[in-house]
Amino acid sequence: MNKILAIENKRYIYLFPLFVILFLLSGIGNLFVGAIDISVPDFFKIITGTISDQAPESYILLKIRIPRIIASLIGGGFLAVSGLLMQVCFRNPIVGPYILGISSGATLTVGIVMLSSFSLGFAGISPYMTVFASFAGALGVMIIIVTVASRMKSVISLLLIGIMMGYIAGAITNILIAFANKEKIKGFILWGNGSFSGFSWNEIQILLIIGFIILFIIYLLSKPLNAFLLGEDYAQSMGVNIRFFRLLVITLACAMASLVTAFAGPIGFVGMAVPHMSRILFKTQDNRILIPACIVLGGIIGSICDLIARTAFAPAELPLSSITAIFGAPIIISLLIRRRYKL
Amino acid sequence: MKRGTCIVFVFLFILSVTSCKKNSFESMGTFTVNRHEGYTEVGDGIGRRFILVPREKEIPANIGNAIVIRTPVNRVIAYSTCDISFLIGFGILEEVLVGVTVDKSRWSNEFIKESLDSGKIVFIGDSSMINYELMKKVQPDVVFTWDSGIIPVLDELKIPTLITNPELAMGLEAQIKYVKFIAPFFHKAKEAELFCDKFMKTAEEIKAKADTAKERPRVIWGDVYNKRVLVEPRNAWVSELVRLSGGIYELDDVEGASCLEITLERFFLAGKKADIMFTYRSPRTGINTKRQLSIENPVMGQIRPMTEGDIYFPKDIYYESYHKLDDIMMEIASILQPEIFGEPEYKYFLKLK
Amino acid sequence: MINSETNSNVIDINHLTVGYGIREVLSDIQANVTRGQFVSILGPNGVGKTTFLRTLSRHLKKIRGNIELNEKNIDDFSQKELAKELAVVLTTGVNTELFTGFEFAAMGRYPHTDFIGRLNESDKQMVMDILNLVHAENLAHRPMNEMSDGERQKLFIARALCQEPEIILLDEPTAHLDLKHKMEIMHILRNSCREKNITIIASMHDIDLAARVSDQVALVKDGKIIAWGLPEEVLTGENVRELYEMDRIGYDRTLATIEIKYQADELYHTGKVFCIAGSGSASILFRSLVKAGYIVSTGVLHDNEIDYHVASSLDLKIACAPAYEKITFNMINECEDLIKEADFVIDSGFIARDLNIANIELINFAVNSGKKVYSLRNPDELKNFGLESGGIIPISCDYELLKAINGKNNKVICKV
Repeated sequence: MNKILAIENKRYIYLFPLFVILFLLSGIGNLFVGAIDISVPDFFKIITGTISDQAPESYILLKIRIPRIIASLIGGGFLAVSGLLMQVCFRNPIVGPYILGISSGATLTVGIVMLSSFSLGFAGISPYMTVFASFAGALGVMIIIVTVASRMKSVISLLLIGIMMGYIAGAITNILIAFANKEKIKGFILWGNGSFSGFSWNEIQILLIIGFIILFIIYLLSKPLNAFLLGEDYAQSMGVNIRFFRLLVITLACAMASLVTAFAGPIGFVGMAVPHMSRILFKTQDNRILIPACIVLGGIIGSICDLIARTAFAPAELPLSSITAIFGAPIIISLLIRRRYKL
Repeated sequence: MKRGTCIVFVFLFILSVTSCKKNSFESMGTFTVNRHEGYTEVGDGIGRRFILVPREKEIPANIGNAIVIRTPVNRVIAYSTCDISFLIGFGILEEVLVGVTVDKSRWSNEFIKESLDSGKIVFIGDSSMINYELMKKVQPDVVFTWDSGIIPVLDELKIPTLITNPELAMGLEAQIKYVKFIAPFFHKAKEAELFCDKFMKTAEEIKAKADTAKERPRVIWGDVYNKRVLVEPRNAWVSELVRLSGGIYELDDVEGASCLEITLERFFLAGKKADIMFTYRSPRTGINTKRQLSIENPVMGQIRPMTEGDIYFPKDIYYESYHKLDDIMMEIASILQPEIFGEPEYKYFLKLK
Repeated sequence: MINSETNSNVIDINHLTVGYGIREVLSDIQANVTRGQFVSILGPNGVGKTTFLRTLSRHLKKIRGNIELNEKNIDDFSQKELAKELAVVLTTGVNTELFTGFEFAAMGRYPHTDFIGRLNESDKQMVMDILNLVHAENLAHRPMNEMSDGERQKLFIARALCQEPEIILLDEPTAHLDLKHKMEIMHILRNSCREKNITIIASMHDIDLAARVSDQVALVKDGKIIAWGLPEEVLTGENVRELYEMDRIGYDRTLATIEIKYQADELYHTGKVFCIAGSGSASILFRSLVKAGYIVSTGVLHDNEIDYHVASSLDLKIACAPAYEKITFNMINECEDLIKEADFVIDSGFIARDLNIANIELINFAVNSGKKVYSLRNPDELKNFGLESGGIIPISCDYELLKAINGKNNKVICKV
């Protein structure tokens, strides 16, 4: 029996605690850095209410910084899981959460709200308006994809249709930009960069509750997801209902990506890169391990990149997607070179 | 530290006032003007060289790869309202302006509105979708643009194109002198000197009077978009003007080439201390009241200009009034120091309710 | 153990038509498969073997007819139920990155594990047992992407076996494999039939291999299954020729071998040879001479000899005698005619006894008619037969002969 046990990959037994600690550290490290450096004693004074919640320090910590940290930890993790699902479903290493046009759909609807003249009817744009528009756009694309998916035999055709959807949405967005006022474009471009800035506690709540419900369902699917690693034919021969399962996975992955995109805008790279990092570090394709690994690693990458974005050239803020790419791509490249892992 | 920067500023200021009159070479931001015997050499916002030669004069030899433009220029297409406002200032708008990229609904100037209707001035398409055929048909002598992306096409069409993005004239001095870059195209160098002197005098006057100010209001200048904030950096001309007018620019650690994004935290901290906020958000971008701003971003609800102070935004006419920079400066100064400069007339700015 | 439990049919196929949408690939298939049998599907590429297998595994919708597994219609199985009955080994590429041999084989436990896919101790033990069965125990720890095609194929089969199916469908399980692994894989599959009473249906290209391991073979051609039955019955020289539409293929069911006929024609050939053969002494020579472009004739051969089977599957001109009968004058005459036509004559050194002693006379005849005669026989033996070594060139073994004649006679002679 011992011989058999030795065969199984047990890296995660020590890797998980390590990465969970890193996850927490990157979150905690973020707490004290920013426009005001908050010392550890001050932190506890704010938490316990010794410093009044009217003080700027406590407002910054409680209303601006902590929500942002949580958003970056959770958002990064969710995007990574979404990317993992997409990669398994499409059996393609270069797909990410946005491959099916989720971000383009969201961008389009946000564009409609922020750029087109009908938004003038609204008194300003409430933050929920953008969130709602973004989620609606992402969901709209997702519904079209899922409808098409149920008729598609080949997963590659589906992938292509998703990419086409993205092109269409992107094209319409460009037309909107062409007709929009220059002043309005500023805000829209900012949104399109993606950022974990400005999360409210309400938004965090929504992100956490819906996100973890989806995550729970995804975890329950890790067994058929594993069967999918061998391709749809093998998965089917092992008892997976391919059509239904494909639909379910795409829906969940899109929902996850839509959720993050709705609040934070499109954030690139994390979703594509973190699943690879998890595979390389944990040396496994087993999704039962990779799903939690993606959450933790995605969170670490998300929060560290966000920290860099807001502190590297403080007080100026850098576009988050640039940071994730600049810091993420070399990590992937070096892992690929050192580990001889093929995508 | 702050006193130090003030001294440096004054020094630069004196230097610039003297240089304004004597030297034939001048620069404003990335723009340059170099007057020679019989022609003027200018460098545009991205350093491309142009030789302005009066029509009756001969084109000088060894000008290298510079592009020759015959002056005075008779037909101009201009993207920036700032450039156009100097045409108004020189009193030649009616004669030279033939094309714009801003549609009729967004103009305040009556002449431009009417001419767009009559076809005397042509709307050649929004800046992001220029109608090049129309542009060629209009036959401009020169195009003033901020979009370097169109240069290859216009080179192809043999239309001289200059990058005249006034944002490239960083800082107050450059902004004041920017008129001198536009002037030689129309043989208005003398007028430009007058403008320049007038603006300078106003600046000096503001500075002199503001020194007596007892209170120094704290100012922030930026736009809040949903969850993100863009602000004017400390080296922008408006920030310099704020300091000149006896105010304190709260975002003194922000530096950049144009408006840039900063963290919400930093903006909140500055906003907590500020008395006055300027923003480019206006009814045009869906902001009519303070409340709407605080709905867009809850942090806005927390800052002092929102709760105790005031928020100002520029009226449309502001963007067409760079030839009255002295007025604008004066109005900003009076918003900051009403005891010294008198109650603002709100010709260019409005208070957000 | 063979078929000891039940002898019932595990698969019944009735009037099955398979294909894609309206395009019928194979129609009206009628067959049944007994439990524990090894069925090979043979036929040229693109004829529909894979389509047929994919229909059996329900990867493709059938067009008409029905398939019953254990007397239950295949459409009535849920995907999960079917997975416990039927496993597949496909040719599609699988990303085996980061899988160890054990992990990969263990994927086969899928239909039997809990909802999160955990392996319990007995699952693990079973996977190890199966790895032993397929001789892959040494592969358990190794990363799969570092394995050879053959090793990987063993694990694909192990994975299918881990599924504990009644039936395994394999699509060209030995394609791209070297000889050793080809044999090993066939051995493993044959063993699985025998030891686990698993029914195996495999599409194959190696007819000789199929003939040796299969209980049943199906020949697929022209949109039909042209024959389905015992390999001994179905695999005749004629059927195989027809199957591949190749005149140049000779199949001998006794030897279960494929011969390729390089037989040169009258117009282009290297030369004409008559080979006095018998008792298997010339089989290798025949192949070599045909390959070298000679028109070979031989005699007199009894029709139960290996030499006869090889010669006939190579389509040589044979003067033949019925088994165990003496060689008659007529046959000798026939041979003498052939010798006259030949450029040279080879004596294969056959064992000459009562029944074929007459062939020795042919050597004499050849010498007398002035033909060059190469003899692989011991010169002493030649003397014993009273043959003078005068016109006979002694050669020590078959390849020496080839060297001797190729050295002189390797130009193509063109006779118009």
